[in-house]
Amino acid sequence: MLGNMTELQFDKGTLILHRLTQEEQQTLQLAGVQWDQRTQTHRAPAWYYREIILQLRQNEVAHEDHAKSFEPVALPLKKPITPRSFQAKARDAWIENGKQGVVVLPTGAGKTVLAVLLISLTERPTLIHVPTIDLMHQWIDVLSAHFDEPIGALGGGSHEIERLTVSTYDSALIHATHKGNAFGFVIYDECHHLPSEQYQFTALATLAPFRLGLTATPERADGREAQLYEWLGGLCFTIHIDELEGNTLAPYDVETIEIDLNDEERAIYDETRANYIDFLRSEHINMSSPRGWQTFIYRSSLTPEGRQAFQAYLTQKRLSQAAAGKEEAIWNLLQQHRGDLILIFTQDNDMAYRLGRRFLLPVLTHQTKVKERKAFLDAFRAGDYRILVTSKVLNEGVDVPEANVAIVVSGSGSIREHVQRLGRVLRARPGKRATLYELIARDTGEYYINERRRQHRAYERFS
Amino acid sequence: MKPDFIDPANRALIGLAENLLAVFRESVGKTRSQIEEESKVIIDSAETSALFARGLEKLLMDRLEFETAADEDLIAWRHQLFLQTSQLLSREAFPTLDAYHQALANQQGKPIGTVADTLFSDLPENQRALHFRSFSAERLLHRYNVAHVQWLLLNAHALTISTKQQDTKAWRQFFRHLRFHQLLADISKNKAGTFKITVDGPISLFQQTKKYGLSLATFFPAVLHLSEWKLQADIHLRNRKPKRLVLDHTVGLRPYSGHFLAHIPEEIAMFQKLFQVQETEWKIAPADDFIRLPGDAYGFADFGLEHPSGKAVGLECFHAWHGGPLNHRLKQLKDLEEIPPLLLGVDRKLAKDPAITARLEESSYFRKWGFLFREMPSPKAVLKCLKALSA
Repeated sequence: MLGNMTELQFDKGTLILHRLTQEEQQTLQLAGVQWDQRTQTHRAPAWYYREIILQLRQNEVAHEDHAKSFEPVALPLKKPITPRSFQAKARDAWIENGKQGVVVLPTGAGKTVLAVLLISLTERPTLIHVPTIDLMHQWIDVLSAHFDEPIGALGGGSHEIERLTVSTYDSALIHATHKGNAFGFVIYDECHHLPSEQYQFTALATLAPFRLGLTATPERADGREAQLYEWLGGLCFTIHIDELEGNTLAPYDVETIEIDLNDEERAIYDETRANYIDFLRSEHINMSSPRGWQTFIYRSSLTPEGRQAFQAYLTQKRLSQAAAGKEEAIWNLLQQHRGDLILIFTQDNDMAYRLGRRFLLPVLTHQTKVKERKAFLDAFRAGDYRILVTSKVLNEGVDVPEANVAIVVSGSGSIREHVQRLGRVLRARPGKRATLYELIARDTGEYYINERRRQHRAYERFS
Repeated sequence: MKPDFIDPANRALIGLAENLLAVFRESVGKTRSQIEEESKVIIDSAETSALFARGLEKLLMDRLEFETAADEDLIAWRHQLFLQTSQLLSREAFPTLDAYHQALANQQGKPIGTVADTLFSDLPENQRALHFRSFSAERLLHRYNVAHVQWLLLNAHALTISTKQQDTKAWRQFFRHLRFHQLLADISKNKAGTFKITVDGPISLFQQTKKYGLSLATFFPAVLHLSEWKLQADIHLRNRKPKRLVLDHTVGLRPYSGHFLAHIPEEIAMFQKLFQVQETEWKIAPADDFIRLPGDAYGFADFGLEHPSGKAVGLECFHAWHGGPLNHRLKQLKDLEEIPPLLLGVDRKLAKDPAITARLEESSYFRKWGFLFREMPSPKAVLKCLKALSA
């Protein structure tokens, strides 16, 4: 019998504190705890677990912990790793921060290896969250190389849970309510995704006391990186791209190639852009406002003129992003870089498949079947495929160390996307110099999109 | 907040729905892109909002089943082709793109146009429709209105339903769906006999989270099977202040699936059958009424058991994801050992949780009126409890 001892239980992403009286809570002020009228118990979001346990211990309150379902586990490395100096500094900063925190490292700087070091050091069952299936496979390969452990996978049709498990954010969200007490260490790769309205639940619903966030670009347009730091224990280490260029990261060049629309394209572009802008003005729609886009979609659906304006918007956008002259530029670059490993990035799948058909090249999008995705990436890494076309799925994280040329055919105005794409070709190799080409349709809206996304120190010296 | 419902009796809207249905009824064997092209003609010429027309199209697309099996031969051919193109482009300088195409066509033994057309022929846009679940234009329009509410509920954190006594099938499915979607329900009844059911999830106590929005949205159709109901939910759309959605049965929303009530899961039907074979006195049936619990609380069991002597008891089963509700129920029942309203079955997977083990060991109610099961209860375990009840 437990008598009157407070008992912690995990319940669907929350902690229930049985037999904690109202008076005790008033005295102890346990973090995050509130009285739940629905179940007549005290309850807290699971992520307060660490703080609550520390408070109970500090106040010498006897308690039974039935919340966590993991134990310490030895996770020795197959072979010792000698970290680079900045990785050692990041490791030490994270330990000093209480084995929690966000580490900001440029793409290609070896954040996965850093994570491997910390997993071995922390000695707890670990769940790694990743944004894409490709990254999931990549992490599984890396963990298998360093640990003599079966590696679990959640997502992309897989459902195997092991002491070391990699999950997509989407799958982790589905399982958070049952599995939030199964891991003592959680890692969020590309953690700038975490504060989204759905994914945040994966941080709130886990009681893991040890946390690591990894990203090259923590800043969010909505300012929610502050929440990221709150849930993961603060920002504990940062190093910038220019501090690593030439050592850990390959030296690189960025070249902008301006493409002229042909006469027919120019005539249609000018007409459709005028149509689209006139509609915005007549409806007083400000596309820079937070609701600008939704307002445009709604109003344009109501009348024939609106539908015409919407079609005009699509046409002028397509012409700027997929101008015929861009295909000629791509062909010239492919000829110029014979033998190099080239990544071609587009804004959307249609353009990616169009280029794939035109040049008979492999295309990787979210529509690519799981088995083929892995095969494409393996072939590209091995050098059997020299060129890979993609829309957005390779924006983040995927390691293609030999790639040295990136061609951005079209993209959004997102700084993050542009920095991440550059990062895909910066993994250092002896003698490697990387080049990123941006193809911009001259005298179109693409010019402004390009200006916006280059507002980052990675592009400063090329402005 | 007033949802933008359409009038399902509006002749123009029925006409649009009929035109779209005509496309989809003839869709078997066509590719996704062909179907989209045909429906686009109708959408573009519709006099209604294009957003609404596209909404109807989406609902109809969801009723199509497409062929999705991977073509292994195509995948293998593609890989070989990409190896060839990779070698060509990395080793040779071609004066023109046409020269490269010609070199590849020669290797493949077919025109380059054919190679390009075949290359990504298994993309979703090229998948062929296998089957379409048709229904009437009027039902499509009703379905649109329900989908509109579901979209709003994606952005809700909780909802409150007020309702009076219901048809037993409707109650049963209502509570089954609640449990299936792992939602917490707080049930109370006022003096006028109106039940108030607040539905949300554990973490919504603390957090403005949209975690439960999807569960609430997929749960909502269960409400439509109740004969009288009123629903309230606070909707949090991005970049807007929260607004209260209030609906009731008079708005005319119709349930969209008759299968909803008719379906009894196989394992439940099997358990019932086995029980009745082994036991001749006690009668078992899916529960058809609330069980009164201490305070203002009510529960709704999975089964009701009745004896010719007039004794009656419910049977409630707690599966692996029901830790919280089990705790709550044990607390509610702790003083009711002498006249138990419920027998409690607990899945062994749930009982492995140390916290639950402790709860069950502490509970004298469970010791007397509970049992463990694997997947579904065994008649033997239930009969043991009933024997004690009859004694």
